[in-house]
Amino acid sequence: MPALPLFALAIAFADDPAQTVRVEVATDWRPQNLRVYAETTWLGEDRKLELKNDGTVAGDVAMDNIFVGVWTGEPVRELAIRIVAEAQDVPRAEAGAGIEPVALGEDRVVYAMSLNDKGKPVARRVAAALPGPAQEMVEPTMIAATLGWVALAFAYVGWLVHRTHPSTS
Amino acid sequence: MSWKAWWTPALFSALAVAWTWPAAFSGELLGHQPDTPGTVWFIDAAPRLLRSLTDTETGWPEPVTYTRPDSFTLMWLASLFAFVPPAWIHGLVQVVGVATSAWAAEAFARALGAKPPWSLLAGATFACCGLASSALLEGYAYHVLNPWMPLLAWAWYRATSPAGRWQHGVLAGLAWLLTLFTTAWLGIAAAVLVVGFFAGALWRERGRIRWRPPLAALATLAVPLAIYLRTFFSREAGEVDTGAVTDVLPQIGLAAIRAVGPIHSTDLLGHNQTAQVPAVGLALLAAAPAVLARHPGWRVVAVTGLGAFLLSFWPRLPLSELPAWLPDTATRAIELLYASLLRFPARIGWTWALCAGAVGACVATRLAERAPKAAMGLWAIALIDLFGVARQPWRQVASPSDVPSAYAAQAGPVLDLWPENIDRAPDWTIRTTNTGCFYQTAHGRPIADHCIANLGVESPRIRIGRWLVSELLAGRPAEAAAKLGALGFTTVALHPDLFHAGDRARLASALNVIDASPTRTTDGGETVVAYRIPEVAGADPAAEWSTWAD
Repeated sequence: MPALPLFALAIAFADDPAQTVRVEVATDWRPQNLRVYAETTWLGEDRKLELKNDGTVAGDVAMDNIFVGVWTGEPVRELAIRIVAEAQDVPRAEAGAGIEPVALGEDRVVYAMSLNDKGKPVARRVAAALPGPAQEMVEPTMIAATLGWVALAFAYVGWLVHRTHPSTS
Repeated sequence: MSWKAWWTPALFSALAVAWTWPAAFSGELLGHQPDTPGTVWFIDAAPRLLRSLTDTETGWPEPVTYTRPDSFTLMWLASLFAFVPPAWIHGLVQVVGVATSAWAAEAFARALGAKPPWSLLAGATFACCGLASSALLEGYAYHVLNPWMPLLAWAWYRATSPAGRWQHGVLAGLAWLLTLFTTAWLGIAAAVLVVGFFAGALWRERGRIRWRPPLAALATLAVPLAIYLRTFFSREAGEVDTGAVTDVLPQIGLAAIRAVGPIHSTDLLGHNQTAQVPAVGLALLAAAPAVLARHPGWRVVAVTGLGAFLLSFWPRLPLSELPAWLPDTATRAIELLYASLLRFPARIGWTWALCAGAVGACVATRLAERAPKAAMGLWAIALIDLFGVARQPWRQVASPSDVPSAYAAQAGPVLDLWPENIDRAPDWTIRTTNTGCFYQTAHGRPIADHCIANLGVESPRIRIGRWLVSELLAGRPAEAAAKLGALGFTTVALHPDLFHAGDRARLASALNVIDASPTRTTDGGETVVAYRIPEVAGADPAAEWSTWAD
């Protein structure tokens, strides 16, 4: 019995065993009201994930034509993933499918979707680079300092002109 | 104390060494952006490109013709000094470029009436302007190797004056050609200068100018220019992505903010930004109407500079909204013109820097004649501009100039396998391409990259690499190996550090089916795993590649 609190603490501070699989679909095909889904069966449970392009998923940039979604669950060895797309005036269609061995912890699978020569959306599996460094924001203080510096240079030259050419200033 | 002639080049040499530090003494790759390894590849490949612009060592399996090399001037120079390691040439071009450009700009300012030491301000304003800083930091150092534009300014200014002689016209024509051959961007900036000075002369002389010097200039450059343009446009570009275009006015506003300096020298992803003209140059130019009222000639130079300044804000126009009645060929020509020549209008600012510096030096000379001690503060401002505001050379960074030794384990054509960037930013592709090309300077094996961008055309490396990843992830390594062998590749060089862990494991697992004992190295700044591709008897790579229809 005295070990019970210790056991509870150990559970509370143990590493999160959850598995995450991030699915990204970059698309050149941009019909109106495009919706992209990823479907799988996760440890016996059928799952359908709507991928978002509105910036609501962590790390996603809104309206960049990369649809993103994240599955979480118990650790899984492999997933059979289907990419499904539909849009206004475009019936629901399977764009790609495949079995993915899943790396323990966090994994990511990425697809590039475009129309094939028959006008059908095709999602091709790609190995995507990790995101590059974020663009720095220019700090307002730096801008103010530079403006101040330019103003100082103008003031100094203005003073010189006033001193050497009093008739023109 | 009289100013000795040799002091000027000596001072500019010292300035160049300090401002480009450690370029004079470092064999590392200097620069933030992927252009540096690409430029170093270009220096290394220059001797063979000088013999023929069709290169069999890149673009495997099909020779690629580079009709738009980075710089003909650099190609000639690099061929002349082919015995020097290319990374060293890249560093020395920075030092020699800044020193000679500054010296030439100073000479132009003296011709306008500036006197030393104040004429040195013109050299520093031009050779150490924001565009020079960006060129050094972004890795296209040959942009600063530009004494030709000040030489053109001097010769063309004389050619369009009443005292102009045909020799001035010939010299101006040659100088403009050298500017163009250094890089097309500088050629465009110089064209603005040519038009500005010529229009100024027409206005000043009320149309009665001497035509012999301009005609001599035209005769000098006509044939070389025709050959250059024919070469430049001889190769059809692929699909040109004009990208999303925002409204014109915000674009102009942003360009103006960047050009005059409110954005402090910043190193953003993809670009290194510095104000175009130092504050001292701006302030002195603004004082010109008051100080140089009776001084001849400065107005044409100042107005030309201001014209270039305004043109450097040139926005990207929404080409998709071109009038429908325009024929397709005209639309295509406009698109190509934009994509080829007007992608970086900020570079027209070189003319602005030259003109502002020259007029500013004249103003400083007049001010110092009347108040020599009080004017000494201009030096302090100039030094703070050069080293404090631009933060040169402290912003410069270096990367290893070694190359992974895994490439040396095998011989024959090699396919580099990098991850893809699925967003539309081109920098990742440029970085992987230029890095792969730089590696070739050491391993010397044929590669599938196009080492000079051909607009809208994807290199075989990208196309085959994309297909290969797809095949490997789909569990078809044997079929992939057969196809690669038929294309003549003997090695796939995987760059595993840059892949997501999951894909890295999947690709390595599939490639291990092709070669169970690859060569793995971690020198040269990254891990490279070289997988041997089995040879395919009787392979005809060119014939096989021809089946890869677009």
